[in-house]
Amino acid sequence: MLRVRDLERSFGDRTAVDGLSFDVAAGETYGLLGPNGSGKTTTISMICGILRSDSGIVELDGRSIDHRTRDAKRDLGLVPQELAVYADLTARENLRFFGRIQGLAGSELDTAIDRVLEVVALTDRADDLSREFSGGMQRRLNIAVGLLHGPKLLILDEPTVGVDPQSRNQILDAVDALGGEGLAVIYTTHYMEEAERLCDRIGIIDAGRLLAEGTRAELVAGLGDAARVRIDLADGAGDAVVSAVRGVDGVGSADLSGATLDVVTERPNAVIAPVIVAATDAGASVAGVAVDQADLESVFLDLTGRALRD
Amino acid sequence: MMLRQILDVAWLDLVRRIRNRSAFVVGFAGPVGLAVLFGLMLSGGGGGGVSVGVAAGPATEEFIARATANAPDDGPEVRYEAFADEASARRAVDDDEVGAAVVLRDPVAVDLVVFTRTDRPISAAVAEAVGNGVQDSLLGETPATSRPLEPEALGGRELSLAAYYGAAMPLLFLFFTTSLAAQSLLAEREDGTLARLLSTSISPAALVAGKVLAVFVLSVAGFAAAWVVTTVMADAAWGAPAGVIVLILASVAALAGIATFVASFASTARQAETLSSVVAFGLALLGGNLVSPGAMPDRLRQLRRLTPNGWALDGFVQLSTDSASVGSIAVVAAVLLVFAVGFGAAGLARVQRVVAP
Ligand SMILES: Nc1ncnc2c1ncn2[C@@H]1O[C@H](COP(=O)(O)OP(=O)(O)OP(=O)(O)O)[C@@H](O)[C@H]1O
Ligand SMILES: [Mg+2]
Repeated sequence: MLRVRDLERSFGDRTAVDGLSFDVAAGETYGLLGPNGSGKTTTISMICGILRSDSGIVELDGRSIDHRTRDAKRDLGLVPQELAVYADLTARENLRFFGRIQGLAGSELDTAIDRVLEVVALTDRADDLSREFSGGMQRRLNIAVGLLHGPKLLILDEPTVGVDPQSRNQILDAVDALGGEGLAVIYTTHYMEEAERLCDRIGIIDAGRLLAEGTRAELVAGLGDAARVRIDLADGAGDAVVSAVRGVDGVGSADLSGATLDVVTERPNAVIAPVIVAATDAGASVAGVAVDQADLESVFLDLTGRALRD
Repeated sequence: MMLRQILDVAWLDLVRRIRNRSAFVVGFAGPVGLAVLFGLMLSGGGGGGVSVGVAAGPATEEFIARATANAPDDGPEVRYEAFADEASARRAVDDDEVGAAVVLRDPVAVDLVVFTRTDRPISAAVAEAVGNGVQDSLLGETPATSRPLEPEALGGRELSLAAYYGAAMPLLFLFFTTSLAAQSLLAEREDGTLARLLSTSISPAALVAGKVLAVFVLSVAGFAAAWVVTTVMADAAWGAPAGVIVLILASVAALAGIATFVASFASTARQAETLSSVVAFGLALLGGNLVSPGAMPDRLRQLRRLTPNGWALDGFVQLSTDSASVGSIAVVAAVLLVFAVGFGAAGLARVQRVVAP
């Protein structure tokens, strides 16, 4: 249903999106997983036609979308990363306005408003000013506005950032349910767990490029039998330790985030001892060691040599 | 569809403005309140005293000297002013700079005219007396042939200061109100709602049109309210209603054009507000919104012609004093429309950059 080909966009001499291609099928939930600044927002801004692309194609059901498109955009629902509701209006007034702008009216509009309020669990707060909402409730209203006009493709840009755990769960449940109803969804995040839980397929994006794509199982299988070894350092963490560990035979990649050294390897049992020796020789002292089965985090580490979260 | 979207955007803006009291004050309560206040303080005034213009070619000075000498002791104190020709004397009466004028058209044929205003009866009487004196002295020793002078009334009423400030105050506030269109777009960009709007099927042009429509409605409503309220409460005489309506619409359009142009140089709503305030006070000072034009030095009075509010105010003064028809303010309205179209087009072109992807 959505086809993106060779999408490119630079700001000055910084390339934000660098030849991105992917497809989203009807009813599919597609995750764009990538760290801060990897180009997620820039990508979806071009998909929604609110940002000019330098080159490339976006097609929704065979209709091309760019910054001049009007009508075809009715099939899109955007939930921006930044809250995009009027704080001085109630939830219902916000929904009514955006619904009218999208071409809804009368009882059709009223029905749609009641439906989305239900979806995001805001029915009993519908007539409160949105500035009086908690952060999580505002995020839920933000989602409701994107859903209101019944788009075929819903695009959510990091909808759970800065949200309390309870609201976060509500949001994830709602998105899960929407995906189940046959709505196509693009979900951007830098939380690996969210991508794993919600998405049928995941594209891993870094520095504006799509590095890998597939189901969670496919992505992890791409690592072979790799596992992730996490080594907590009591002190002495530094670049010297990282390069020493990378030099150990059998280590796929190694990266330091904070005081934790992430090592991806296909032979965890064989490398643990030499890695600890190398780290100690380089001046670090080891406080603990854990072996995880590979997950998206290790896929990202393997692809980029860096941890997903900085 | 497009029209409906424009109306929806305009309606939303109006609702939010009215809910947000500070904007309501700028658009409505401020101009109306100040207009009434000034109106009530000044409605007694009008001033002027008795003044007579004289245009008698080379003999002008002599006639003024003689008229001064012949003035009765118990009469009003009269100020005489010399004019080079009939046209300038007549214009001075028209503009209420002098209460009446005596003009000698032809010394040989003793062709004399006296211009008067219905609202300056004393000046008119003095001018007639002076006129008769001039006629007598020109006809020499044969006053028997003296014809009674037929004063030529120029109509016109006293400039109503209540009406002057009734128009000057809304014109001042208009600047702030009309800059709200661009400010609102910039604020939506900062708040993130602009991105969402642009992701829908609405066109950037419809969005801008909706914002402009909202400030237009608010400004015209505030201006019209000042008109009605000062007329009822302070007896302000604004003049022919059709002319007032035309001038209000043209003024709003002109100031909206300039305000949009000015605000388009800002990149945040706060900047736009500051920029608009500075320009508003500058133009208000030059245009005579703060000081009445009579109190301004000559050179400053010339500068009024550079400001749309100065032109608008002149138009309102004409309407108020001349009981003029719509036709007589056509020039003012046309100039205001030129301001509106020129600055408006440039401003909108710049504002498009805010909304264009
Ligand atoms: N309007 C802009 N002007 C200049 N640079 C920009 C602009 N928008 C984005 N960028 C740059 O493009 C790159 C990608 O930014 P983008 O916002 O798409 O990342 P992101 O993946 O959405 O990050 P985050 O997770 O922090 O939201 C960044 O380096 C950013 O600095
Ligand atoms: Mg982003």
